[in-house]
Amino acid sequence: MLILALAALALIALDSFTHWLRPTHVWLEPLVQPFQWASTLPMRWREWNDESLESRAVIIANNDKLETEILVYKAQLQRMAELSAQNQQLKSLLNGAELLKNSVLVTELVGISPDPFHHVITINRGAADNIRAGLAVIDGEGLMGQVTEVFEHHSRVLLITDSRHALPIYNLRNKVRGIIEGSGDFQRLRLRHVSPTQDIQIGDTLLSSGLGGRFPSGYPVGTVSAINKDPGQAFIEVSVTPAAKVDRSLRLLVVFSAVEALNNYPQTEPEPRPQRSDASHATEQ
Amino acid sequence: MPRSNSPLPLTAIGLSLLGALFLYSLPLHNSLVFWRPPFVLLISIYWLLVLPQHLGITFVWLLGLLLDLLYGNVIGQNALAMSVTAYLLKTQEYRVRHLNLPFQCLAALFIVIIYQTLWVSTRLISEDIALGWRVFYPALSSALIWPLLAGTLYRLHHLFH
Repeated sequence: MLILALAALALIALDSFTHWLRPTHVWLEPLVQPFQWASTLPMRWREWNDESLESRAVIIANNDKLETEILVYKAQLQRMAELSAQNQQLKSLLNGAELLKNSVLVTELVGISPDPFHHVITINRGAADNIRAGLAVIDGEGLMGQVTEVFEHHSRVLLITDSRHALPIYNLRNKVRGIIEGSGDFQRLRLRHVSPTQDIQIGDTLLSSGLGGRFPSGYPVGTVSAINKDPGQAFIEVSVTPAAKVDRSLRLLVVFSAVEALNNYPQTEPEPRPQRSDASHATEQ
Repeated sequence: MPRSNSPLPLTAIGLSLLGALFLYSLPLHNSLVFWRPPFVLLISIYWLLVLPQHLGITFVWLLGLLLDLLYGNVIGQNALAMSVTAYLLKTQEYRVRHLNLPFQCLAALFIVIIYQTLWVSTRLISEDIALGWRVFYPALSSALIWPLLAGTLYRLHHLFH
């Protein structure tokens, strides 16, 4: 018993303080895959249900709605092209760095960490799709997290709501910078070290500032939902609701940084890559 | 809990382990994630009590190690917590085996409280965890699910006898 306990303690110490045991995670990864796949079966079944058992009228109505939406977005995009050109021009006048296009890769959620203290998900893209640790992951609404472990055909993503995660942000209204932390709760992020005199209001939109060099700048992170001023404390407590549907999104996007995107597409054209027909790429500003 | 003198029912153990791993990785609603019982611990202590002549604490330790390796935790956390829990249970083995079902549930409650305490303590070495009463929710759910689990494992054992 003593030997077993000591062996376990030794393993804990080894794995906590060194990286020598990392390879075992990579070797054993294929063993976990069937369980992860099986664990998403209820979700998949529901999705299949939603897709296949819809009545014709509903599908037609949905189709109409989507077409209208596309039209609206296309109209907005036309304005965007003009605006980004103007922006580019102004930046070049100011001798600023040229704004580069970020490229995204569509990916699907294939597993969720069963550990209640960790907010980690698995996505179905890995080293084979040029994913590397540190890339940002977003959904349709905002920033979701970052890639932390990469395997051959899938990778693990640490969500922004995990209590081990923090990222630099700025307030859209007044450009005040800050650091936002996960709280271990899917619906809440925490803004730390905000002084009581700082201009912050409920409803303020917070965007990623890109200052750490890890996340691309300008993606919505959340909106301020509550501010708690305790006169006895040096800082005020600010709660933020994440913009992304951190616990609900099934389809996600991995954002390649500008440099990465340039390596992938020498012409920076929004073309699908030839070797993977299902990898739908798009470029965005 | 009847003590069995049959050869090691490898099929039943394997199937129960697969089932436990499946239940462990099944996604739950956000309000329920803290209530998930430690299925692998529960099945391992069941087999430990039913087959004392075949399985010992090493078996539980290995299952804990497997769990750590599979789910990317710090290696050794579950191995330590599960084997120490199993050791403490082993010291009370002869009392526990003759308990009737309600008292078995109560025993499961205490066992899981011990396990959760050990597991969270080992995790606090390397990470920052928001503690609270929710750490002990799995103990309650384990006590509630124990009759069903023990019944299923008993049937599984005798199916592959």
